[in-house]
Amino acid sequence: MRDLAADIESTWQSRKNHTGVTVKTISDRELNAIGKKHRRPVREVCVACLKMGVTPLRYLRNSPAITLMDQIILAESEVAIAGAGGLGGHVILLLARLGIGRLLVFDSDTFDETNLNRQALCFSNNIDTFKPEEAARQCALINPAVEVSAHIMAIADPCQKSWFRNTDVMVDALDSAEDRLFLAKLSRELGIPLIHGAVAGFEGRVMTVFPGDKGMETLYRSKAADGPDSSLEPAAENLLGTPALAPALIAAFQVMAVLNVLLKRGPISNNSLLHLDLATASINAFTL
Amino acid sequence: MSIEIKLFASLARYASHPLISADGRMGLPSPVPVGQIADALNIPRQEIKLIFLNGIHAQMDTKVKDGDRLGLFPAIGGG
Repeated sequence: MRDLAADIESTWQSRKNHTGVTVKTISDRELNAIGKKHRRPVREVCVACLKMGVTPLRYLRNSPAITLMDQIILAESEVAIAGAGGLGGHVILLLARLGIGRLLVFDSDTFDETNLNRQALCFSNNIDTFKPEEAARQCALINPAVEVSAHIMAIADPCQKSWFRNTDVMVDALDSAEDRLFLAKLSRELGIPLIHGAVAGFEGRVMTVFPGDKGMETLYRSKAADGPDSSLEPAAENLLGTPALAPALIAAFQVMAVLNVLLKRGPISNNSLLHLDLATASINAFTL
Repeated sequence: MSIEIKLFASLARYASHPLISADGRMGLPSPVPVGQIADALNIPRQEIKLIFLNGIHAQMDTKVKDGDRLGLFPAIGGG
């Protein structure tokens, strides 16, 4: 049997891309067939193609914003997402489209009808299904070169640190201060950059927390630290609601932050909080 | 002296206070700590989780001076 590289070499086709440059391309159907023949996951075949300068058609329109070299880095990266709800749903779907090689999804919940107003993974025909399993199912439809590991558990449940041995970035798509503080502590102990996001009404914020940054502890205090009366103060999202727009916007900013970390395009440490308001079309940057 | 004040998310409901002008400015007789401004606007201090003065993280006792930009945030945790 010919080796994988020989099969890729005899399969790719020339095609002019949108900038008029002729490039080597390969289709999903061909990737799947080669994977099946060699009993290798599609992700592996995809990486092999990219390294041979062959662009899967699904990534053709990413260039030159995301180059072939960038696409290799993304395909060999792993991102852990804590929460698969309002923010997490959009984040997961965008990461799948971008071709992140491996996603670890953590959420202990099932979908309910109150999620339909904003959660991208929630449909009227998947109410009561577990969010991480639904994430895996939908990612497989979007991009078979993305491997999803579905964990039906909260990030604060007892977890093995070894699960994150290959994780490059963590995404905070949670909805409680306690869980966010737990995740911040975990990411710091593991030395993994964390992308924070939160929404309320038509507003939201995003921040990259590098292991040395004080970030999350400045934004949130635990209930224990705030005293027993802290739960009497309603959080902004409960006073303002969470319509669909802010989760989509903040998720896109979070995914851009993931790209900046993976592709080493952003600052290596920042302590900078970005606040966005759709209602006034304004963006403000703050220094922690 | 006057300062620019911006109340974010659910704190925006306190922005209709008569001490705040339509363009988001507030007149003050002299430099005062952030906490005193919150009291004057009837914003419960425990509702303020994050303070920025001229874009930089500040505290309840940080003094606000003429021309400063003050931003106040509540807890925001939706996801």
